[in-house]
Amino acid sequence: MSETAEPRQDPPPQQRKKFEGPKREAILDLAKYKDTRVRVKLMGGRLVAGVLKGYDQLMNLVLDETVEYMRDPEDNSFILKDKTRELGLIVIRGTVLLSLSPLEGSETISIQDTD
Amino acid sequence: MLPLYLLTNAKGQQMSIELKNGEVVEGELTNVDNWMNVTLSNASQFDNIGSTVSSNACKEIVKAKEVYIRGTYVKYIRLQDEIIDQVKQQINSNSSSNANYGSGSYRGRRSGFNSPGSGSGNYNRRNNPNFGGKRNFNNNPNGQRRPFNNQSRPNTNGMGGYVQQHQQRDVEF
Amino acid sequence: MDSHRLFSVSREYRKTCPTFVHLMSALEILPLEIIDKTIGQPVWIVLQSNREFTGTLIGFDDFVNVIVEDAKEITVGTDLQDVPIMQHKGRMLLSGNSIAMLVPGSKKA
Repeated sequence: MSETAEPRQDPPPQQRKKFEGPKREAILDLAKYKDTRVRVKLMGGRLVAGVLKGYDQLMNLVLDETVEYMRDPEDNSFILKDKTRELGLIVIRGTVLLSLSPLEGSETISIQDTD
Repeated sequence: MLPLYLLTNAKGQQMSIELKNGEVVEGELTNVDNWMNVTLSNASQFDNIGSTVSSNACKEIVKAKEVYIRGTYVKYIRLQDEIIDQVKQQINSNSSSNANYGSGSYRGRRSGFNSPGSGSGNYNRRNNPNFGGKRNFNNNPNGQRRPFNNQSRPNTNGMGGYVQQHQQRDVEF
Repeated sequence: MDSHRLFSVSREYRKTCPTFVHLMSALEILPLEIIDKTIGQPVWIVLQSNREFTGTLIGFDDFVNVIVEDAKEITVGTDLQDVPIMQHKGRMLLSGNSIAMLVPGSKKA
């Protein structure tokens, strides 16, 4: 692509609208998870699970009966499954949401490390 | 072939995503958006909770019907080998603009751009070697939040609307 | 603080604030609306890091930068007990950048 070495011309504005590519609208339909339990990972390593009560376009969430899985204070990436605390009704910032999955219909396989 | 374009055309394929925290998620791609936010179906999350540190460590695989992953948190995505070829074929078959591909003329690129399968030409321009040098992180107010902006920004051709969308959404945040 | 106590706090909060239970049945529950309803009431703000603030919510903006009054800054220790960092007097502005979760109602009973 030799033209990129030349001084670049500004494209006519009409061009911009024609771009076809990945979606810019929401790709996850949260409505189907309403009133079901979801598992949410947050920036910073927190992991919470709760009943999805509400949400907005920015993926701010309202969870109820929320449980947070606490982590090993010495190793923050290490989640202690047996240590949880109840948070109740909470609002999660969409900006810190990393991943979300429904707990309904999910299964967990634990592999004990050989001690 | 740009990553996002490859991904959007690889829906339904099995892939595995490594997240920035080292966790791996495997599943079938159902959707991707502009920010590389991804939804996978029938996904297995291999949590790296409890690796070696503690003696009662246990690894865990969580299988869920669907998983949504933030694009900014993706380290890399592993696809099946054939996908690149498949997508290339797809593009070639529904694009008549390949004659213009790499022709170097602005006009040529524009006509390619306007045709249905033209994303390839458009995307490919961003792969040019000059591109890296033209990045200017400092000029981008959203740079820290969305690295993708940096990538699309220096190259204004045809991508303007796309970038503006990002910024608009950022303002809403 | 043990987890049982935390649980009861949350329940107690609900008793004192039936509006939230009410909202549960509403069609649309918007997160920012919930925060808005918390204004003037106790709030528990959990950051991305192991740090939390409790205080009275005075206000917030679209970025969920938050103003809290008489905030108590705490971390959570090994056994889920609170480790106080400091007590802030008056109002403080808390950047929305580091906020992960907001819990209507105070952490302490």
